Order: sequence, then structure tokens, then C-alpha cells
Amino acid sequence: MEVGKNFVYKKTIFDYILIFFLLILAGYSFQLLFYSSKNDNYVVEVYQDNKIVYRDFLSKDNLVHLRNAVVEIKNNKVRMKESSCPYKFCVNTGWIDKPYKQIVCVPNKIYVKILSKTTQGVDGVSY
Amino acid sequence: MSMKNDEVGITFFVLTASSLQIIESFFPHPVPGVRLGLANIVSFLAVVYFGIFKAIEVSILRTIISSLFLGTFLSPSFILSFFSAITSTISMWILYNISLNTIFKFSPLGINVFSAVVHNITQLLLVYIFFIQQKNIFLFLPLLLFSAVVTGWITGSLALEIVKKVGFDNIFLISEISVFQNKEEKVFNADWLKLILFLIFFVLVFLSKKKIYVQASFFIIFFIFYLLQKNDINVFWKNVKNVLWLIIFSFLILLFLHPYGKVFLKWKFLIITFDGINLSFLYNLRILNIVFLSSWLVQQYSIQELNFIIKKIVFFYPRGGRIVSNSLFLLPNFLEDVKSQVKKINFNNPKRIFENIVDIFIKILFQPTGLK
Repeated sequence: MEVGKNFVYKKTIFDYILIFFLLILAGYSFQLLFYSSKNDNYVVEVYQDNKIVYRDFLSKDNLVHLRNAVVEIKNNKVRMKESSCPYKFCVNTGWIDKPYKQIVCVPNKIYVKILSKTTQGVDGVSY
Repeated sequence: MSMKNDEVGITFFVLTASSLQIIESFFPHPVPGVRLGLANIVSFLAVVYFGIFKAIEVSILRTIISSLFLGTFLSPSFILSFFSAITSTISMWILYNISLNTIFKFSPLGINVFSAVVHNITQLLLVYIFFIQQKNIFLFLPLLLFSAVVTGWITGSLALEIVKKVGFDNIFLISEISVFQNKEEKVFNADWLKLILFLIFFVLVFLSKKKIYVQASFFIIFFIFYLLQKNDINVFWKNVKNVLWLIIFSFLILLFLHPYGKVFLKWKFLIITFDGINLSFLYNLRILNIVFLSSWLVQQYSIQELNFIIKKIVFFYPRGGRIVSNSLFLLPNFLEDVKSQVKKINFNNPKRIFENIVDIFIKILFQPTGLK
């Protein structure tokens, strides 16, 4: 029969190359877990009374209702939409969209900041 | 080789594969989600001896038959094994053809390792597509890949030994056996209403991915109806056990590794959010609802009725229906045969175990004596 003419009856070098390659793939898949797309790079964190209240990607639009205040996340930007504080410094800060920028509201003890998932420390920033 | 005899050969391959799958499901799995996959050896042998189309036929029919026998038809574990059996068989064929026609010579060892990896990747992708639409579940990937290499190595070396012993000369001995027939085909008045009801609820459960209260109310309704109808809760539990690794794992990772949304609790690096709690319950309730539906369906119909319904649905493929009904008819005897063969293995002599398993495979697949 023609069927079994070219059948390989012994373990070949290509087997071991393939298995080696697959093992590398398995090892590399550990790293894939920490991969995130560029869009989801920035993370917003909202704190009230020194406790974290909200944490999500900047790309996800949301309204966060806090005590005496509302934080709005829209089009990859964050702002304090409403606040009950007398001078409205936080509302007047306007939209922020870069990491390490922040919105602070002292009377309501609110602190909004943007984090970058990839860059851990700040080397040189000039505003 | 006539059509009829070909069918006999395929039936034996299907029988062997499904009985291996059934026997394997009786043994406990120490590592969650990892199985040896002895049935994949049969798929490989089918690729070698029958070609790709019949091999896919074998792998499809064996998942259907073993699920009908075990009462896991249309449950999540059936959906996973059904599609990944097809992709792993196709990957086997591709690699086998490469090794036949080019200078890249892969032995059955490499082919089986590759197909095991493809099998596990497909399973995880299917989980992502059908059940849990969260990237977190790919945390399971390294474990699945490493285990696939190990299990593929074992099945591959078994397959290599089998082909070495059998060769390509007298492989169609099997077709000389007289064609067996299922005694009498009963004609059922299939209750289509239940099936339609099942399909409607299946689609409803499947499509609602956002609202947890929808899934929760489905769950409560199913639970009450299931008990009111006096269905066996053990069937449900058995089906849950098949996907328990998935349920527990996805619950934990969605609960603890989803730090996005309104924060519920923070302790050092551990952040639990309301979204995480919501998702972990939502997806697992969805899986449990599908399990409820499938175990309800299995109890509403007997195996023969399900077989009859499958035949009606795949009316354009009468051969498959014939093979399924013949296999289901022969399966109990065949299982006993395989079990008695397995009992003969002398486990005290570890060197001989491997050869014994190879002999059993050859005896069952190529010289089926007990069923003449």
C-alpha cells in the first residue's frame, strides 16, 4: 500500500525542535498575561477619606457618585463634575488626561489621580 | 473496500475512542482541567489509516456517543470537547501531511504533542468565546500548555508504538467481519416541544451576558422546576463536576484579579471590586444554567430517543446516524470488553505496562474478537 510509504517510525530531531518550541511558547505565555493593549494603559483611581473607592481604565466612560461630589470619566479624560465645596477648586481644575496629574478636593477629602500601567516611576517631567 | 465495510471500521474506531473517553472520566483528575486524552490516539490512528474526513467523523461521533452515554450531552464540557476534538484532529492531519511530503519529518510523538497543545488552546479560546468573556482566564494558559506537552508525549509515544506494530499491510482485516446490525430500530414519537423549549431557554441564557439578576432568576427558576419535576440532582452534580475546575478557577480570578470598577474592599495589594463580584457570579451562574438545561434535557429523553432525534436532525447524513445507533447498541458490551482487557494488565511490572497498553489498543482496534 502506498499509504505508509513515507511514514516516520522513529523520533526525529524535528520532534524535539517542535516540542522545544512549544515549551518556549508555554513559558512565554506567562508573559502574555501581563500584556495589555495601548488603549487600556492608563488607570484612574478615586480616593475618598484615604480609601480607594473606584479604580478602572481611563478608556471606560463612567460617572462615579461620591459623597457630596460626582466624578466624570469621558473620552479618556477625568473631571470633577459637581462638588459641594465652597470654592470649587476641584471643579475648576477641569479635565485631566495625563498620568501623574491629579484633582484634589480638600473639604470633601477626595483625591483623583491617573496612573500609567507601564511607566512605574517618573524620570523627567516638565509642565 | 466497499462503503459498508468502511463503516464497520469507523464504528470500531468510534467505539474504542468513546469507551476510552468514558473509562477515563471515571478516574479522578489530580490536576484540574488536565486529562490524558487517550481517545486522541484513536483520532490519530484514524488520520493515518482513514484520512482526514473520516478522522473528523470519528472525533465528532465519539464526543457525541460518550456524552450520550455519560449524560453530558450539550453540557459545557461537551461543547468544549466537541470543538477541540475537531481542531486537534485537523492539526494532526496538517502536521502528518507535512511530515509525509516535505523534509520536515515529524514522528507521531511530535504530531501528538502539537495536537494536544492545539486542543488545549482551543478549549481555552472556546471558554473565552462561549462562557467567560474576560481576558483574565488566559491565566490558565501556561498550565494547560505545559500539561499538553506532557500528555501529548505519553499519547504520542503510545501511537508510535501502535503504528510500528500494526504497519500498513493488513490494516483492513477488520472489514472482513460480518456487518452487525442494531436489532430493531424503534420509531419514537419524539416530543419536539421539550426540545424547542430547551433551545429557547438555551439561547436566552446564552445571550444575556450583562445582567446578573437575569441569570440569577433563571437559576432559581431552573432549580425549582428541576426539583419539582423530580429530576435527579446527581445528574446535575455530575455535570457540574466536569466543569468544576473552570467554575472555581474563573470565580477566583474574576473575584481577586479584576481590580476595575467601584472598590468593595482593599487589603494591601488585594483589591476586590463590585464589578469583580458581579462578573464572577454572573459567568458562573451562566455556566450553571447551561448545565441545568443540559441535565434536564438528558433526563427528559432516553438515550435511544436522543439518538432518534439526532438522526432526524442530521437527516442529510444518514451514515452518521447509523454509526451512532450501532455504537450505542454495542457500547455496553464493548466497555466490558475493554475493562476486562485493562484488568489483565500486570501493574506490578512497570516496564511491561506500556507494552500491555499498546497490545490492548491493537487487540481492540484491529482484531475485535469479542464482538463477532
